[in-house]
Amino acid sequence: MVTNQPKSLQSFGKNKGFIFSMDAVFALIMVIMILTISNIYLSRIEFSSISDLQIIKRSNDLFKILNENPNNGTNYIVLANFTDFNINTTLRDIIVAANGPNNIPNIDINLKFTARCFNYTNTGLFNKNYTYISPHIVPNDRFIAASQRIFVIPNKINVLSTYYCIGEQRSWLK
Amino acid sequence: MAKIKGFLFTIGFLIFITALFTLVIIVYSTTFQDDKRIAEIGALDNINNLDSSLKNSIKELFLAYSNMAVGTLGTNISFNETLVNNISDFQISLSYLKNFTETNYNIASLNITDLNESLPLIIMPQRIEYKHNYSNREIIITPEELNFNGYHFLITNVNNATCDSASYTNGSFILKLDSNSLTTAQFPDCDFDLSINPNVKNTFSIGSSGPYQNSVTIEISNGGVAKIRSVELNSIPRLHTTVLLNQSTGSQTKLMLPDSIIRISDNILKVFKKDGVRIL
Repeated sequence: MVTNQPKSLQSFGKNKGFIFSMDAVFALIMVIMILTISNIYLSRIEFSSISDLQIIKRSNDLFKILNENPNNGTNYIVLANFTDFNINTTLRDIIVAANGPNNIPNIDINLKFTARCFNYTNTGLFNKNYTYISPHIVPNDRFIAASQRIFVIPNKINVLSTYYCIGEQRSWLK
Repeated sequence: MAKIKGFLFTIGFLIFITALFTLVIIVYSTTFQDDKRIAEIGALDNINNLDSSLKNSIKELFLAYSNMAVGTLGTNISFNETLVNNISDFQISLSYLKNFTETNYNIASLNITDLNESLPLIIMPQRIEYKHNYSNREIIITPEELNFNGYHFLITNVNNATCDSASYTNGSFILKLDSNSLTTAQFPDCDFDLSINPNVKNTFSIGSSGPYQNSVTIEISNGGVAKIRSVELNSIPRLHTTVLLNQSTGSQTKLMLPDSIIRISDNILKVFKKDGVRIL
């Protein structure tokens, strides 16, 4: 059979099956790569969003509770008196109150609290610091939630001895 | 034909690469948006923290320095203070809190003018305002509408606590008035237990003669507006007021300092918040 096709096409004709197979393989590899990357991305987004939000929400809730109902009803945060145990107990109580005793999730947050307090006296502005630091080191390779609250420590005998404080908390996943 | 095939293959590959790039850009921008949303939620939580901690602080200062005791008696709300009360410590502590807050948070401000001038307290949801006129040694209770049952006033530590005069019109609004020269409620020297018409002027005075005549006056008029005034300078009467509320709304009742004490305005997040402080 005589043909007028150029040599390149004649060669293509001979390798047609191989070339289409290679195309299919490349296409399959690309599809698998896209699906894998999408999957990894979506799972990472889902995980990081939820855990970051959980840290923000949990630590804020805990901080608020500790600030407004600290240490069995005393009127201010005595941060120095906190321990991992009573912070976790408080958090557990909150969760139990919210969810019921049969649905207690793991408490997986580390905390660091500090407070700067000032008072206005006749002789100037004084300050004192309260600190509670969880025995864990603040990590520098993961998400850390941070927030502040204002609180006061009234002194009923002398109003000038009232302390005005800013409490700060940092929290991160264990 | 071969040329067309090659051309179509190139075009197809170009379209595929473009689609892939678009997908990468969308994924990248979504990641960025996601981080941004988390940062926004965190920032909103911080605003909420600032707001709720300021409310808590103002409540603490009120309880410590206002020299007022407020509470619930069943479904009723009660106020207990001297007539008229000294709130200078409360004013000082509030001004320091305002200074402290506004120095440390440029998005927050405290409007304490009303608190300094008349320390108004509002019973909600009935919207009954209990406030002071310090220059007139007067307490004024102003209901927005007549949606409660009446008042019980107990005045103690008055030099002369006997009833002096009473001018009233009968009606269905409860008024109990007791006064005592001692600091207790037992064996009152003056004891009214009446049902009056709150829409006309009703006046009562305590202190029957001599320098103590009319030492405390009470006026109820204009739909239940009550004005309790002390003109006695030789003693410091104590006024215990109970606002008798309807049973049906009792469980929802709360006592608030007025709206707009706390103002938070964040121009970056476009958030503006105005809030009062709940005392009870």
